[in-house]
Amino acid sequence: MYSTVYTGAVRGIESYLVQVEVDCSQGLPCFDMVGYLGNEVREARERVRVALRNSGIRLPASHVTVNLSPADIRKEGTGFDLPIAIGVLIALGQLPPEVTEGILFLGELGLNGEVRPVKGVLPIVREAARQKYKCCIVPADNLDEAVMVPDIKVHGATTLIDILSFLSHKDSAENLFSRKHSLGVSSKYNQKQGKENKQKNMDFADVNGQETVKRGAEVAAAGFHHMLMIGPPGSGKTMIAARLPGILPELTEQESLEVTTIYSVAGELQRTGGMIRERPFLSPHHTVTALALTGGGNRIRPGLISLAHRGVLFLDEMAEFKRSTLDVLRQPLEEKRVQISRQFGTYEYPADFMLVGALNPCPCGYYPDRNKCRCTDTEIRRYLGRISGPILDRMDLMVETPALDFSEILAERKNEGSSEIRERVLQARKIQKKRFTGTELQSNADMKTVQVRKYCKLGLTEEQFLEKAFAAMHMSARGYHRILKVARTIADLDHAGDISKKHLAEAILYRKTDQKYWEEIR
Amino acid sequence: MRELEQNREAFAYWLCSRAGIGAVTQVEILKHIQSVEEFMSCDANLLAKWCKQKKKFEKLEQEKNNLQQNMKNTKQIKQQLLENYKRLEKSGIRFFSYIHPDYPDKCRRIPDPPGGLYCYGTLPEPDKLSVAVIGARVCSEYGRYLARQFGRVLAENGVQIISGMARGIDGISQWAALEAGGSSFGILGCGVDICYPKENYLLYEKMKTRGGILSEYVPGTQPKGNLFPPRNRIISAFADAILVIEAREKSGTLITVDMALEQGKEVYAVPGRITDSLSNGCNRLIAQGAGIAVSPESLLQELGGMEKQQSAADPKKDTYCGSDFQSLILEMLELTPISLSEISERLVRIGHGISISELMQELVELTMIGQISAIGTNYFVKNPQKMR
Repeated sequence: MYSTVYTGAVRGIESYLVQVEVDCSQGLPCFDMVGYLGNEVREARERVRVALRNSGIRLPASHVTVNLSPADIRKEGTGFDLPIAIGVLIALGQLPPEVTEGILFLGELGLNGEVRPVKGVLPIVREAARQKYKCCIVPADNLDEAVMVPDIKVHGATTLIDILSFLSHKDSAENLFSRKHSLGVSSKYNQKQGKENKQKNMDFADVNGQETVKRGAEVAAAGFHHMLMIGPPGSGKTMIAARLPGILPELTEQESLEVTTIYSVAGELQRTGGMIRERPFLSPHHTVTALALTGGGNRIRPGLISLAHRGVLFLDEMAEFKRSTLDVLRQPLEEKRVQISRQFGTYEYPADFMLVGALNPCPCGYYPDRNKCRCTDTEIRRYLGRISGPILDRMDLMVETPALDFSEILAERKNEGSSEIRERVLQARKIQKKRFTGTELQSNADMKTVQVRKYCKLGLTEEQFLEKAFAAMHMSARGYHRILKVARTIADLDHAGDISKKHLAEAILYRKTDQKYWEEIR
Repeated sequence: MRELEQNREAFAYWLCSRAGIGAVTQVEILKHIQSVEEFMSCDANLLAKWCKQKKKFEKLEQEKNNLQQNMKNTKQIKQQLLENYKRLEKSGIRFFSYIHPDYPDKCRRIPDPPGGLYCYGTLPEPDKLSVAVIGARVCSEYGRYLARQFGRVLAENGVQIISGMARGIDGISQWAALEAGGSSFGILGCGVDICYPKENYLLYEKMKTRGGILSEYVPGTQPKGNLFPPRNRIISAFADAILVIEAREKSGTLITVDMALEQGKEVYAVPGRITDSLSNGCNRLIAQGAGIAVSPESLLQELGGMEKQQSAADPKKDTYCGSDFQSLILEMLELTPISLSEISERLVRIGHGISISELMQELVELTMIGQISAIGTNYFVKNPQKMR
């Protein structure tokens, strides 16, 4: 007998539905699976057989053929176990075919008949909802993310037997409702609470001194500009970076869904639990590989830059990263997404993140304090040269974090807290939102040359000022547009309609670095 | 006559380009032998007497044998050496052996003169005042500024700047001298055809036309650590006075100072703060009795080379017209870089705190009128107007 059950699979962060066809016929007893399967999908055969037996279901000796359709897309992941098991039961006549109508199954099976969590539940359930499925049955551990999707019922299951009994009593709507809760084991909410507090503990009020950097961070957050901090070891670069997500505006519903989807696909959601409401903050070690950053590898999964989507990617000790690793950031920084091509297809992950770098000014870290630093100009240039020009070009703000003395670090001072800074950031964002209504842009940093011309118009005096400042500071015209963008953000923070000299001056100083550090010194 | 001179120089060139013989021996031989014929027929005992060391003599004998083995007769050898010499001249490098009439007297007077000098451009003019401006390769902003200042003012007053074309103080002062329209001479620790350090390429090229590149080493000699200390004696030889801008306690610069003292030259040092390790060497020199160079003008006066009369005050530069607040910032800044955060902190401390962005505007404006300079990312130094 033949049966059809529906499930879903993920490709990139998009998902598609998969039809699981099972046929049981007389013949030599065996279990065949077809449909362009990855290794772990092929192994489902053993898991399904044993799980069914250990759930107390006897399989008669018959020739079982399973096909996963569409058969021309490579299937990966372990979520096919459950739908295959259900399909087999129907095909063997142990379940009536109509009970699975409108239901999407997803889950991995343990040999003891347990239903285990899988990756990518959120996008699959969303796709099911879009295609007007009534209900989804997912592993109980994935229920948190599945319930985020509106307009569809989701049930979490812990064992195969639970599902079978649910399916056979499905007639009662009341029953369904109660089932949903009895099945939906959710212990993760408590953990989530703890997670939220973590970011609350990181407050800018803890940072003594470093007014320049704090101001820089505020501007960067207001315009979603990339930022580079340069300073000696122990000057608080990491401390400030870790506090950046706290002054960024909260994720919107749409953004939150995007981020959660990526984490779901990457299988990271079980750890965080539920919808992600906070901006991600990732701080990879400098030994990270290019593949880990962009994503991909043998089994395609989102990389760190996608996990940092809508959040902050912090690269500490930027000059210690391999140059080739940093250079893979170039395309994503420009296009805000990353494309990974492999033999069996091209995947695309969003990667709209704020790049925050931290850097020592020279190998020993103390330049320009010549009493401590004995690095030669060549050494300094070589050290900073490890970051390629194009990457550097994209850093809108460069700020120095000067060394702090002990009294400063230990002082109990009342500093401005994150919430106050965030308030100003939010105001500036509001202005930007109004400015960019009807366009794809979200923040000032997104502006291309055309928009810069449109929104960053300068008056005659301002233009002359900028020109003179460029000459006086020996700056190249390369950063011209970036300066205008940053000046726009600063003006927004100031609630000013037009960019004035003050805003330009500040923006110039944020770009000042390139001349001294990265060009001929004389 | 011309031919005679050429043959003599050809022989000297051959002798000076032999490795392992040494300047002292070269000079000693050149004093007695001035042509290849004389050399080939010279008595071995005499040669041995001129070579103070046995090793040098053996080396010389070996070179002599090489010549004889490769060529049939003295005439052919002579021809060969002349060809080599002409090839050198063709490449634009001038060669002055110890016995050349144009060989600088200043060099001849030192205890161990070089056997020959290779030169791009010209030799320093003997009648003009020459000052060697030397110092640390890794220098501070203070040293950078003073090297520039001294280089410029000295050059403007017609002083030739002699130095080693090294990174840091050397190169900076020489560049400033050239920019001021003066002439400067670089004494290298490698062949004159090799630009070391490479980043001073522009300076190297410019100095070829507006001064000279000099070396006692054969063209093609690669820069090696042991070649640099001996060349310092040539730097001090050409100079009438030595000016040390910045040096650490144990600095290669002090080798040049020692050489200069040995040669009886005046040594001046620029004083610095006693807490700055880069000024330790200079302060030590002063303590030991070196002249104190408090300004290029005072140095010029002491050297008696003041040509251009200094106008008492350059009103445009000296009187500063800016807001009170800007002068407050100016007072705060010095020659050691101070970070933006630090400036802001200090302003708060004296009760004039303003927001970072307002402060930034003031600083950019001050930079634009040339009162201060931005260093590094957000560090600032004051541009001193004039040194008195």
